[in-house]
Amino acid sequence: MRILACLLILAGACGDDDASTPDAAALDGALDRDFGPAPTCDAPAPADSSSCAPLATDYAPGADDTWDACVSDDGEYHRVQESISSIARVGAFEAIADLLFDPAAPPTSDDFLAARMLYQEEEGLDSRVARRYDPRFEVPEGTDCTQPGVPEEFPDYCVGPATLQPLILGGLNQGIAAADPTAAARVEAGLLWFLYASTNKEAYTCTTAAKDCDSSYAYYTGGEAARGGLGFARYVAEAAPVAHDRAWDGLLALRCWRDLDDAETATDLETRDLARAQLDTAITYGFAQILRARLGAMCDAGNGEVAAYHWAFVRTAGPALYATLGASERATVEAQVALDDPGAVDVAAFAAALDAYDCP
Amino acid sequence: MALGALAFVPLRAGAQDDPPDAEDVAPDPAEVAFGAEAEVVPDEPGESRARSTVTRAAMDERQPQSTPDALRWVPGVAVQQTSHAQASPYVRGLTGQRVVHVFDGVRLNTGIYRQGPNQYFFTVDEATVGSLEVVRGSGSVRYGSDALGGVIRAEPLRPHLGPVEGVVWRPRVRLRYGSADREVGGRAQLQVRWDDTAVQLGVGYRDVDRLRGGGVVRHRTGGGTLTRGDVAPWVPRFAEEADSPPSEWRTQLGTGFREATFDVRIDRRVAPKLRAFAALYGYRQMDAPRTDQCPAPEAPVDECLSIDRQWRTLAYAGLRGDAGFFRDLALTVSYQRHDERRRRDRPRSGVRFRWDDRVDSLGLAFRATTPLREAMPRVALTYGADGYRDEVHSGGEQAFTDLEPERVFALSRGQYLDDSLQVSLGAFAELEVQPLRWLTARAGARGQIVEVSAPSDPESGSASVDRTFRSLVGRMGLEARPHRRAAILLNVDQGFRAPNLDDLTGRQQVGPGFQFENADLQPERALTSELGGRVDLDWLRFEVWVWTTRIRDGIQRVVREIADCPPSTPDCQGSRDPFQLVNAPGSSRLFGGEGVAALSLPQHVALQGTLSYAWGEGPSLGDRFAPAGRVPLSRVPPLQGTFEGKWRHPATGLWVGAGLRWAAAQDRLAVSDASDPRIPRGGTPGYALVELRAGWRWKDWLQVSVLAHNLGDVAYKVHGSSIVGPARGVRLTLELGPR
Repeated sequence: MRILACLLILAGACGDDDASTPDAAALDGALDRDFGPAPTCDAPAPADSSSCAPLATDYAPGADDTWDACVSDDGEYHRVQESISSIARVGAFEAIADLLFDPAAPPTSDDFLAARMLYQEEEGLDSRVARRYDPRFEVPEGTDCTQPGVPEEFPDYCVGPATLQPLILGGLNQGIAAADPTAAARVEAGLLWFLYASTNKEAYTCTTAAKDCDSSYAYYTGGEAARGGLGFARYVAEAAPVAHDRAWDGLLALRCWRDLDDAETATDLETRDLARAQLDTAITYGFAQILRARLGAMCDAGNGEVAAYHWAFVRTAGPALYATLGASERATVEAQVALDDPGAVDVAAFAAALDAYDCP
Repeated sequence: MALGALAFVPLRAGAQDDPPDAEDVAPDPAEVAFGAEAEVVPDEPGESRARSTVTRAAMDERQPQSTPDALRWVPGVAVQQTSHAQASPYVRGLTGQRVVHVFDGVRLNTGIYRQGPNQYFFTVDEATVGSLEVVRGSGSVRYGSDALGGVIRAEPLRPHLGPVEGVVWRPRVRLRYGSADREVGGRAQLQVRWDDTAVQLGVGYRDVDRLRGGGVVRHRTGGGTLTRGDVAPWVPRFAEEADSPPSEWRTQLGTGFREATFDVRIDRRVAPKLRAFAALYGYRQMDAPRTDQCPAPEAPVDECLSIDRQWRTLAYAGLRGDAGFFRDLALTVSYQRHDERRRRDRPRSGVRFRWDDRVDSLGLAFRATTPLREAMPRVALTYGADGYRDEVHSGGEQAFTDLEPERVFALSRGQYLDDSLQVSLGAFAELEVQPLRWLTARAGARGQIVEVSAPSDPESGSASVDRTFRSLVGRMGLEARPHRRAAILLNVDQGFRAPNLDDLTGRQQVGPGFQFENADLQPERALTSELGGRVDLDWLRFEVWVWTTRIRDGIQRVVREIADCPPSTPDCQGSRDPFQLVNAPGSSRLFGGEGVAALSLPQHVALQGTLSYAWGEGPSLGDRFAPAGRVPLSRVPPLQGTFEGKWRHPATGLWVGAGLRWAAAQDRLAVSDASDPRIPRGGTPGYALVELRAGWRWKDWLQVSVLAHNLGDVAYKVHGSSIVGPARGVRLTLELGPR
C-alpha cells in the first residue's frame, strides 16, 4: 500500500510538466560503472553458537532466576501503551528494503526517489534519525545534539545528525542521481545502524519515560509478537538466531524491570542496568553477526556488482561497532573498512575481530 | 462614575448614532479611571448578560501586544498562546471554535476555525480596535453556532460624525517599542470629515523579534537529568546564550513575527440616527513561527513550522442606527478572505513541506428591534437573520530542497479537502417584557441550519462529507431591580455548535499529537445557567456571577491508536499520539464564578480587582491511562485574579498606576494535557506578575505611555501556552496628533 502510494506520487510527479522535474529518462538511467570482478576470498565459517549461554543474572521468561515475577513471564512483550509510533518507521524501513536492498536487482533512480519519499515522511524515519543520540557515549552534562555545532563536536554521541543522516541522505541522493547500487547498500547500513542505536537509546531513556521501552521493542522487532521480528530483528534472526532469541529476552527483561519499577521515574537502577546490559549484549552481537554474514555474502557473490554492494554495506555499518570493540579488534575493523576494494579485504581477520564479542 | 473594565452599557443605547453634539466630543482619557466610559459599545445582548468591556483608553494604558492580549484583565477570560504571534482567549473555560468572534458586527468564525486554541482573533489589529466586549456564557440565540463559551466583540475605531465647517483633517501617529521582544512598530491614521461624512485611513506595521521570557518553567513533578525534556517541557526551546548554562537561557526559539495592516472606512450619516458605512480591513502576518513546532519537541533547532503568511481581508458595508420601524438596525454585508500558508523547513534533511489554506466567506446579517408597546408593560421585539457561506481551498506539497533542481511533489490533500463548503443560515427573535418598573423578562429562540460538504480524496483515504445540521435553541432571563442602583440577574441560555469543516475533514499537527477527522460528528449543545448581582454606586461598582455550563455531546479529543489512523497518513502513524474528535457520551460540565469590584476614591484614585474561577470535567472517553468515570476537561484555566490601582492628576495630565495579575497552579489535566509537550509535568505552576504604568497627556495632541511589566522577572506560563511570558521589560507608546 505504501509503495503503491509512493509510486502513484512518483507517477504524478514525473508525469507533470513542472520545470523543476528532471528528465524522466535521466532518472531511469542505470549507473554506467564497472564494479570489476568478484573478489576471491573464503567466506568465514558460520559462527559457533554452541557456547552461547545467558548470564546468571539474565532474565528469561519462566526461568528459575533471580527476577521477581512480572508481566513478561508469559514470554510476550506487553506494551506500556497500545500505540507505538516507532512501528510505522520500521514499516517504512521494510518498504524501503523492498525498493532498494536486493543486490541482485539494482534499483533505479525512481526507486531511490520513492525510497526518499518514504524516508522523509512527516514524523518518519528521517525525523528520528536527525535527533538520534547514543547515550552509551559519555559527554558533558547538558549536551544537546539538537543545538548547532554540537553534533560536529560530539559525533559519536550525536550519531544521528553527525553520521547517520548525512550517510543515508547522501546515499539516497546519489542513487537518485545515478542509480548506484552501492548507494543502496549505504542506505541499508545507515538505516540498520539507526535501528540498532535506537533500540539502545530507547532502552536508556525508558528510565524517565516508560513508553520508551515500547519504542526499544518496536525499533528492534517492528512491533511483531511471539519472538518474531521485522527490520533489525529480521536481519539478526537470519544472521544469528541465538542472538535474536536473546534480544527478545533482553526486551522482555526491560519490560519486566519497568513492570516491577513502575514509578514515573524508575528507581531500581540495578535491575535496569541488568536489563539494559542483557539487551545491549544481544543486539550488539547480532549486529556483528550481520556484518559477518555479509562478509560471507561478499565472498560468495560471484559478480563484482553484488560483492561491491555487500562490501559497501559492511564498511558503512562497521563503525557502528567501534564503541563496543576492544582496541585491537577495533584497529582491525578500522583498517579493513578503510579499503575501497573488496578484493583487498582480509576477510578472516575481519571475521576474527567480530568473533571477539561475547556470545549472549 | 465609569469605573472598571466592566462597563454598564445602556440596553439599547444606539450609541454610535447619538446626537452629533454628544458624539463629537472625544472623551478625554485623563478623565477616565480605567477607560470604562471612553467608548460606548453598541448594544448587543443587553445589560442582562455577564459581560465586560475593554475600552480604547484602557488599552492605551495597559498596552497589550495584541487584541486577545487586551483581554487578560477581564474576569472569566484567560489568554493562551500557542505561539508568539497567536493568542486564543478562553471564556469560562472554553476557547477556539467554542467562542464566537465578531468584528464590527461581522462574524469572524469560519468553517475552518480550529478545535482548541486558535490564532484567528490575533488577526484583529489592536490598533484599530475602539473597544472590546466579552459576553460570557452560551449565546447562540443571538450569535448562532459556536457560541458555547461566550462571544467576543471588537468594535473598530470609527471617525466622529457631525456637522463641521469645511473639511477637517485629523492626522495621528502612534509609535510603540517593547523591550522583551524588541517590538518596533506603529500606525498612521488620517481622518477627514466634511458635512455628514467621514473617511478614516490607516496603515500599520511592526517588526517583533524573538521573545525573551523570564526563564525556564520546570516540571512540577517527576524529573531526571537524562534529557532536556526531563527537566522542563520541550516547549519552548531557547536560543543559546554563550555566557549562561542552558537552564538560564531566556530567548525563545520559534517566536517573533512581522505584521502589516491597512484599513479604510467611510461613514456617512444618512438620517439623524442612522449611519451608513463601508470598510476594508487588511491584516498581513508574516514569518510567524509556531512556537511548539519551531523546532518540534526533540527535533534539531533549525527545524521549524512557520506561518509564512496569514492574511485576512475583511470588507463590508451596512447600516446602523434607527430607521423608523427598525430601531437599532444593524445590517451588514461582508466578505472575508483568510489565507494561510504554513511551511515546515528541515534544512539538514533537505526537505520542506508547505500547506496553503484559503477560506472565502460571504456574509449577510440583519438585526433590528421594534418596540411593540411603549407604556407599561413595555414590550419590545428584537429579531434578525444571518447567513454565511465559507468556501475552502486547501493544498500541500513536499519538496526536496537539496536536489538540483529542487523536486516538488503535490500532496494529495492539504489540511482540508479542496473545494469544501460550509453554509449557515439562521434567524432569531427575542421578546423583552417589562411588566413592572423593577422587573424585566426576556425570552428568545433561534432556528439554524448548517450544511457542510467536502469531496472525497481516495488517495489519502478521505471520505466525502455531506452533512446538514439543524438546531433550535432558546434563552430566557429575568432582571430584577430592587433599587435603581442594584440588579439581580438570572439567565438560562442555550448554545450549540455544529461540527465545522475543521472537525469533519481537517488533518493537522496539534500540540499534543496528530489530529485526524471524524466525518460522523454530531453537534454539541450547551446550556448556561447564571446568576448575577450588580451594585453601581458613584464610588463603587460591584458585580458577581456564578455560572454553570453543561455540554451535551461535547466534541473532544480522544487519544486513538496508530491502527486507527486514516490510510496513507504517515504523519499520523508516526506521531506520538494520534487524536480524533468524538462526541463525548453524556455531559461535560463547567462551573465557576467571576467577580469584579471597582472603587473610586478621592484625589482621583481608582482601584479595581477581579477574581475568576472555572472548573470542568467530562466523561472519560476511554483514552489510554484515563481513569473510568469523570476526567478533567482540557486546559481549563486555574483560579486567577487581577488588581489594579491608578492615580491621576487632571491639571497636568499625568497619571501613574500599578497592576497585579496572578494565577494559581493548574494540576487538573486532561489525558491530552498530560502528553502535551507544552504543559509541565504535574501541571502549570502558578505565578504573580506586577507591573507599573505611567503616562502623560498634553492637551489633545500628545500622549506618552510607559509600562514596566513583570517586575519580578518571573518565569511563567499561562496554562496550555507554548511561550514563557515576557521577562521584565518596558513598553513605550507615543501618540501624536488630535484624537
